[in-house]
Formats: sequence, C-alpha cells, structure tokens
Amino acid sequence: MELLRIEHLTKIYGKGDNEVRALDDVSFSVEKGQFLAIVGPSGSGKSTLLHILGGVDRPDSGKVFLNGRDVFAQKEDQLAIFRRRQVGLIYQFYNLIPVLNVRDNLTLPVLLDGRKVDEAHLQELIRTLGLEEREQHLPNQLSGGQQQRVSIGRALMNSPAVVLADEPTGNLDSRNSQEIMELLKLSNRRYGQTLIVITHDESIALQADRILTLEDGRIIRDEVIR
Amino acid sequence: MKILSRFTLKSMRQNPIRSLLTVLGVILSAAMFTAVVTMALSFWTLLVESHISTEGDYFISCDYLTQEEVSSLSRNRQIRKMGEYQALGYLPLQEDGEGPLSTLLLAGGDRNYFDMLPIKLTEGRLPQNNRELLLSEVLLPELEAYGYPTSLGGSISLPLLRQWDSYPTVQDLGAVAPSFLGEYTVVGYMDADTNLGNGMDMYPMLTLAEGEMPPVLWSRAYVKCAPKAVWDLIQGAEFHNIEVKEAYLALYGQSKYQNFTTILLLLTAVLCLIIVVGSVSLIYNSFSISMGERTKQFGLLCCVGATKKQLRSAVYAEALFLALPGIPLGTACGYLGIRVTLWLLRHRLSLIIGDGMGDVTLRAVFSPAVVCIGALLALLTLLLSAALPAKRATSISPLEAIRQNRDYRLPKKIKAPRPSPFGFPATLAKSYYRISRGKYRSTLISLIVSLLLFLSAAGFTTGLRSTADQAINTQSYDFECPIPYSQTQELREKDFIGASAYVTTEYVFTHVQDEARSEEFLKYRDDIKEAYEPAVDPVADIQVFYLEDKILEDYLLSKNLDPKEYLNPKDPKALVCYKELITYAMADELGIYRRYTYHYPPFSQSLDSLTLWYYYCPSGLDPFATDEPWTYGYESGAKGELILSLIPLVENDLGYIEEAPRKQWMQYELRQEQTGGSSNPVAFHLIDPLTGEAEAEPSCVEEMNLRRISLGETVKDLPYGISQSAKDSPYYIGLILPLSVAPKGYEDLGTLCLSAADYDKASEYMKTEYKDMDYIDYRQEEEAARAMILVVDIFSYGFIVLICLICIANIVNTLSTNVALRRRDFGMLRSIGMTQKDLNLMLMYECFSYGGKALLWGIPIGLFLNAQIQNIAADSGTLAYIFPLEAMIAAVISVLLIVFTTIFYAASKLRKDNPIESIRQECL
Ligand SMILES: Nc1ncnc2c1ncn2[C@@H]1O[C@H](COP(=O)(O)OP(=O)(O)OP(=O)(O)O)[C@@H](O)[C@H]1O
Ligand SMILES: [Mg+2]
Repeated sequence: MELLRIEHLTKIYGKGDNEVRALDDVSFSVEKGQFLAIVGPSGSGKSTLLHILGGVDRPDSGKVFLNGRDVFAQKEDQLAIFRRRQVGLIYQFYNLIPVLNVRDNLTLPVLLDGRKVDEAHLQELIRTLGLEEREQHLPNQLSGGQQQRVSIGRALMNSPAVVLADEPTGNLDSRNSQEIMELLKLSNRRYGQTLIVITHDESIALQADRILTLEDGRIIRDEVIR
Repeated sequence: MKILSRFTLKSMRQNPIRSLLTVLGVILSAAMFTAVVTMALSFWTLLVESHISTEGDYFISCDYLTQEEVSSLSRNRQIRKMGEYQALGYLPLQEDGEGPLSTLLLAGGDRNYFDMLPIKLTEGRLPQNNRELLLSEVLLPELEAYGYPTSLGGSISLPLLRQWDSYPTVQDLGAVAPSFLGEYTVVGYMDADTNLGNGMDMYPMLTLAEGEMPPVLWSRAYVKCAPKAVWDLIQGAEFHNIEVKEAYLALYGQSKYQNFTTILLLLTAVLCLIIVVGSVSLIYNSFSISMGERTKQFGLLCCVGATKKQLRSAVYAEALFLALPGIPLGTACGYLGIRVTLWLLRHRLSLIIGDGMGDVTLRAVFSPAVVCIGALLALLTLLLSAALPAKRATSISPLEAIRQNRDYRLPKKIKAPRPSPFGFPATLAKSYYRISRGKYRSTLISLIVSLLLFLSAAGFTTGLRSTADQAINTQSYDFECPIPYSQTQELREKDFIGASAYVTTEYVFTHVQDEARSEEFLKYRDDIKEAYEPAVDPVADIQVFYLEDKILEDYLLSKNLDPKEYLNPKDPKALVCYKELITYAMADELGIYRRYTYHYPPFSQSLDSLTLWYYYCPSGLDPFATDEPWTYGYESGAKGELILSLIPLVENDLGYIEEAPRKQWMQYELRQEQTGGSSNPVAFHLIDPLTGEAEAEPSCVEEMNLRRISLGETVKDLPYGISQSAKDSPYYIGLILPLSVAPKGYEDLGTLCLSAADYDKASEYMKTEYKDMDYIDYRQEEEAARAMILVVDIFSYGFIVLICLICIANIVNTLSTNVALRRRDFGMLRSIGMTQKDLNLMLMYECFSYGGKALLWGIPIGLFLNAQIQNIAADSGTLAYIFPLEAMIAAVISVLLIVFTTIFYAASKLRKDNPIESIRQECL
C-alpha cells in the first residue's frame, strides 16, 4: 500500500548566480512499513528532501501526498497538527527543548496534542531507549547519544505513520549507532511505521529495504534490496 | 585586542535594535543626569540671584567702625570684596523743638557699596561723584515739608551735624567743626522697598564716597569672602555689631543652621539615584544579553588563547563604543531640553516667582563643570552596567561556554513544572519562566520600577495640585480692596471695572442651645467631635456681612425674597449662609487623609431670631491687680449658661506666652436681666472656683447693647461680594445684613469687591494706584497657582516619562531578546506540531505572567507611595487623599500594552520563518 507519494519536488535556494537547486524535480513513492535509506554526497539535498517530507519546509514546486492527502495544501495549523500526529522527525543535531527535562521532551507531542500521556507506553519507551535513570535530567546533562535517543523517543512517542531520521547516528560510535538503528527498526517492524533514514554509513543503508541515492538534487539510483 | 574590538563591533551590528536601544538608554540617562544637575544649578542660581537682588551680595556687615578698623579690614587677605558705607552727618528735622522728631542721615557709599547692595531706583540714576545725591523716595515729602527742594537735577543744601543726640559718632573727630553745610545735586530717587539692612539709617541720603570727603562719623563695611571663610573671619575680628547673612550662607552650605544646599543636593542625589537604577537596569540587561549570546564565542576565543583581560576589555570597548555617540548627544539634549523648557515656561515661571524674590528669572545656567558631572555620571552608569556581565561572561570555563551555546544558564537540577490548568502551552511558558528567572526578574523589576515611578509622580502632582487648588479663585469677584466706602466711587466708575460691591464685616458671637441648631449640624458635630471642639460650642462665632443695599436688593429680587423685610432699617431680617464644609480626617493607619463634606443649615428652621453678643470685657472687672497680661473668652457652662473667663497669660518654659491653667482663671456667669429693647443690662456673677457656684450678688452690671436679629431665609448661593468663607469656614456662621444698618463707623472699615471687565487693565491700574493698599488679587493668585500646577506637571511628568522611557526600552529589549533567543525552540516546537494557536497561547500566558506579576507588585506598592507622597506634597497632610484612579488605569493599560506589543511583535518576526529556517540558524 502506498503511503507517501512525492511528485516533482523542486527546492531552490538563493537567487541568480547564487541559485542552488537543492532538489530538482524529484518524484518517488514509499510503501507503508517500508524502511527507506537515502544516501548521497554532502550537499546533494538529502536533508532538504527530508524536511519537506516532514512538513517543516516548503517546496518551491511539486507535491507531497501522505495517505493520499496533499500535505502542503493544508493550512498552517493543520500542517502543525499533521506534523505532530503523522510524522516523527529526528534531526542530525538532536534539537531538544533545553528547558524541559527528558520526560517532558519525550512527551512533548502528546502534550501539544492535549492528550493524556499513556504512562505504560512512555515507560516502555524509556526502557527501550535505556533512559531509565535520566527521566528528570535536562538535555545539557546528557551525552550526545542519550540526547539522540531522547529525540528518537520523541519522534516515536505519538506512533507516527512516518519516522524521518536525518543521520541519526552521525555523531555516534558504531556500537551506539547500531543500538539506535535497532531501536528504529524495532519500531518500524512492531508498529508498521514507515521509516526513512538519511545516512552516510553504508552498513546502515544496507539494512534498509530500499536505497535511494541523490546527487545534485536528483535521484540517480533507486534500488530495492528486500 | 584589535580583532576583539572588531568582533565587538560586528556583534553590535548584528543586533541593531539592541544596540540602538542601548545607545538610546545611554542618551536618555546622560540627558536626564545633565537635566537634573542643570536644573539644580539653575534653581540654586535663581536663589542666589534672588538673594542678591533683594538683600545684597555680601555675607557680613559690621557697623560703627572707625576708619582704622575699616582699613585693617580691607587689608585682610580673606576678604574678596568690601563695600564701605560712611555716615557723614545727621539732619534732625523738628520745628522749634516741637512736633515729632525725625533724624535723617547723610551717608556716602563707595563704588563697591553701590555694587553690592540691591539699590532700586524709581527715577534718575546713581550718584557718580561726591557732589551728587540719591534720596530715598520715603524722604521726599518730609524734606519738602521742611523746605528742602528735592526735585531731580536740583541742588539741595543740608545743614548737617556731626554730633547729634544719642546718635553714634565713633570716629574721634578731634577739632573738626560740629556742623557743616552739605551742598548736593539730587540725581535719583531710591525705591522705598530697597533693603539696605536694618537700622536707623534705613532711608539714607546717599552720595558716592570718592575723592575729597568730609570726615567720617562712623563706617559700615559690607564684606564678601569665600563662604567657608566667614566664620573664620568673624572669629578673628574684634568688632561688634557684626551681622551675618545666614540665609545667604545657607545657599553656599555654610550656615550654622539649616543649609539649603544640603536639601538641594539630597534631592538631586535622589533623582540621580532613580536615573541610575533605571539606566543600569536597561544597560546592564543589554550587556548581559549580548554577553550571553557571545558566551560561546568567548569560549572559543579562550580556547585559542585569548586572556580574560582581553575579553573583558572587549566588553569595555563595547561600552565605549556606545558611550561615544550616546553621552555627548545625551548631555546636549539634556541641557537644551531644560533650556527650551524653561524658555517656554518663562511667563508662567515669572508668575510663580512673583515680585517677592526680586527681579530674577529661572533660566538654564550653563556650567561646563556641571555638564561634565552629568556626562561623568552617565559614563559611570554605563561602565557599572558593563562590569558585571563582563565578569560573568569571562568567568565561566571555556568548555562550559562552548557547550552552553545558548543564553540559558541551566541549573543542575530542575523539577518538572506542575501542569498548568491553562493547558500545555501555559506549562511550557512556565518552564521557560523558571529557567531564565534572572532575566525575567530584571524585566519584571523594570516594569515595577516604571509603575512605581509613575504612580509616585502622580501622587506628587496630585498633592501639589490640591495645595494649589485651594488658591483657585472661588470668589465671585477678582479683587478685594480695603478702602472706605466714601472713596469707592472713583474706582467703581472705571471702564475696566465690571460689577462691584462694598461689604463690611463684623465679628460677634451668639449663644444658642442645641434645640436652636439644625439636625444636620448636630450630626456633623457628632462626627467631628474630636477634631473641632471649639467650633461646635454653644457659643458660636458669627461673621456678619453688611452688604451694600443695592446689591442685596438685586439679590433678594432674584431669589424672590421680599426686600422690604430684609432691608427694613428698623428690624432687618438677616440672610443666613448655608454651610458647605470640607473637613479632613485621618482615615486609616496608612496616614491617609480623607475628605468629608458636610452641607447643613446652621440653625433650626424654627429659630426666628438670635441675640448677637460682642466680645467685650467690662472695665469694672479688671481682675488681676498686678500688671500681668491677661485675656478673656466666652464659653458655655455645664448647664448651658454663658460664662466669661478671665485668663492670665504666663510665659512657658520655651519662652512663649500662653494661657495659664484653668484653675487660675476667674469666671463669671452672665445673667441677662431682660431681653428686647436697645440696651440690655447683663449681670456678671463671680463663680467660686471651689464649689462652681455663682455668687448671688453680681460683681458688676453692664449695659451690653446686645442685638436681637431676626433670621430670614437660609441661602445656598451667596450674593455677589460675599466671601466664600461665609460658606466654608468651619469657625464662623455667616449672616448677611444691609450695609445701611451696619454699626456706626463700620462702613469705612469694609472692603470693595470688584470684578474686572478688562482684567489686564484693571490689574495694571491696581498695581500702580493701589500699590500701598493691601488689596487681594484673586485672579492673579489663581493664575500663579495654575502656573505652579502646570510647571510641576511638566517637570514631574517630564522626569517620569523619561525614566519610564528608559524602563520601557529595557522591557522591550529584554522581552524581545527573550523571544528572539527562543527562535530555535519555536522552530522546534512548530516542527513537532505546535500550532500557531498554541504558540500564541503560550506567549499570551507569558504576557499575563509578566504583566500580572508587575501589576501585582507595582500597584499596591505604587498606591502606597502615591498616598505617602501626596501627603508630603500637599502641605503636610492637611489635604484629602485622592485615589489615583486615572493614573492607575493608565498604568495598567500601558503595562499590558507594552508587554503584549513587545512579545507579539518579536514573535511575529519569528512566525514568518519556516520552522527549519529557525532551527538551522542556530545550529550553524
Ligand atoms: N538555507 C539554505 N540557504 C541556501 N542554500 C541552502 C540552504 N539549505 C541548504 N542549502 C543548499 O542546498 C543544498 C542541499 O543541502 P542539504 O542540506 O539538503 O544537503 P545534504 O544532502 O543534507 O548534505 P549533508 O550530507 O552535508 O547534510 C546544499 O548545496 C546547500 O548548500
Ligand atoms: Mg544534511
């Protein structure tokens, strides 16, 4: 079943001589539950693509459909609600809210939704993330890997339809990297979430169902492994 | 170092708004410092000039000096300037040893003398040589009467004596002739008001002491020296008759008594302190924000080897960059601001200053030193504000700095905020509040300080205004001029005079029991029992107004009252004035006075006549055989009888004369033998102080000529010409009768009340023609009062507006950076799905928490200060507290407005970003 469809996405930064086509007429679609890896050289437009998919950036042209719904046709507030319910975004730089402790950072999307926190779900998540002892800590009291795990937890908290991760293991050692990948894959399998991961790490890319290669804002290769 | 200043400049340019606000703060504080010190200096100068213009420019005067003493004085190094006044001869004026004797003095003053004394000319000029003469205006009629021609330019020859009666001649004159003829030309007249100091020679004939002079009888020296040296000088002097101008010395802070300068300096210091608080909070915040932003930068610099000292000097460099344009500009603005303000207000100021202070105006005095002080204060404030953030930014370790890439100084431990009942956005707002409490606090303090200042200023002006309000003319006329009735015609016929009425008043008393009083009065008496005992005694003071018949008739007709009854020469009915009293009483523990208004008719409806008593003590009752002074008073006894008390006067410990204790009084009970008729014998029965019983036999019986007056209507609107005091005096009850029935002689003791048809002309005319008369110009008093209010308003609100501007700049600065700093967080929150509505809710909550907290603290404290200051400003608490409702509403609205606009304006700029833009920005 098709979950995501991307049609003729174009994103241009700058003007005139400085013009950079970060994305140049990109189209593809992703099945529900698929684990997709996006690779490509630095500056090829991976992050840009991911941000547009997550609804935090807008394309200059082209469309993104999630479950058949045009994402960018929505009003600003609908888009915000879309982001908090359908998408879990994990940034390369963890981007936690510095004034909130681990627990609150994790539950942020739920709280924003005005719902009650499902305590069992939260505890399980915390356990899975290995953050049992850190619930009351502030982000700046955590190591890089721990912060990354919190941001992953936050992305998974609302059981979104799509999890988007931008080099989630970029700053981590290989052991930590593998742990985090396991986490994501676990969630991907357990909840049937679609998982899109940007990575430079070939071993991680090879764990994916499908690898999309970008260069200069274009898809140059699209191979299904599994 | 160079690279560091470049960094500094760059970061300043990156935040143009903040840099601008900071420069604005520096400008404002420099301007205010300069304005305050310039104002203080100008005011001081005004007082000095006023003193010079009314009293003369000297600290010490010594009388009756010999020439040797004068020359020894003039050799004294400490003396800066000395004026000498030489008595040359006496001119006794007496006809054939008969009639009143007056002695005039011919004196010479040297050039310094004419310079130092405030001689006012009415005509002509000062004497230019020792043959010219200046005459006091006062002497002219007398001299003329004795045949000495005083015309200007004419010559006058005076037969003068060198020894006369008991008048002093201290100089040993040796063989000089006892008399001589002084030949002079009269060149000018001196105003009678000229203050030459006290003494018999208040009105001298003055010539210039220069060149060949007749022998000097005695001299007076006027000395000016350094103010500090005055007491030293006096210590060393062997002269008597030294007079020290304490009031003048007080202006230089050298008086032994109260030094005015201390008060002025104190006030200036307080104002400066307020400015320091305001501007430090602004500039400090600005710096600490800028430091906070650059903490990471500093950490990096540290890592590559910049020393702390270098970093700190970079901060000071930033301070100096700000000072460079800010301080000169601010100083200039401050000085010019005062100058322009005073110039614009010059007419009103001259109204306030009045004639009593001499020929002076309040003008902006420029003094480089004082302006420098202003600038220096501003610079110090700036450096003070920079010092702390600089220290803090450079004292954290480099690693910590790098890791702490944001301005939050996160605590080690933090409790999760309790979920707010207002939803998650509110909880989030609370978290932010908790974390950056320090920064929030400074914003809050700024808000509170502005609130307090504003409310205090409002209190100050309310207080002064209510003092001034009392001077506002409530009379129906403009002038009140005490002239005999027979002389009113000329003035009344002038075309610039409109309505006029002649009124004469008589003070008597009556003895009325409670039954004769109105119920409203009894209630009033009950209410104020403690405050106004004497006014509510059955012995009631009455002020009878005898109003010109014609005016009274017009009034009666307009009120549909029968003139025949009220103007009947045999038994005229008296109009009774309705009372509209305002009393003030301490309302609560805060020491706030409250105003109570009482409206009542003084007498009961059923009372149709009154007996008027005179304050009078029969000569047959001289009680105290000794020469001791005594006085008398009427009061009511326990049974309602009328009692005359004879009260010995004694000197108390402080040397004041006061009434002796009650047991030393002699009291008489008055018994009226019969009523009616024109003469009423009254018997005075001595009361035994032990038993309290009156003796059966009267000590004396007097024909008291008591008057029985029929009472007519009680009126609320007073007829033209009747003073408002008839209504609002708590002491007297007003009765109005026609002038034609006034006791004999009274018609010349009254006042003419006038309304001007053309006020300017009228006041000019009164000033010249009725100069010596003690007339009252209500209109002018009112204008002066209004001018006072205006000037006070302008200066206090000017100060407040400026200081509030500083505070507002601070609030805008901190609030907007607080929001801007959270740019990435906003992006983050939006990227994980916070809606615009939630964001707004969060901001709204923050606004309310700022605004609400500021108001919560600011309003109660502000109201308290307001009340206190009102009390102080309003003539030591005699006026009612007025609740500053308008000021409060204005304060609440402006606080919320400022907070809301700032936060939402700052947030609106972030809103335009894509979430990812904001996130990126800070990550790079
Ligand atoms: N805000 C921006 N302004 C201008 N150009 C931008 C902006 N953001 C991205 N770009 C440009 O767009 C191109 C794509 O950037 P993007 O971040 O998507 O690359 P990337 O594939 O994620 O690279 P990396 O692997 O290094 O993270 C780059 O050439 C970059 O320079
Ligand atoms: Mg990238």
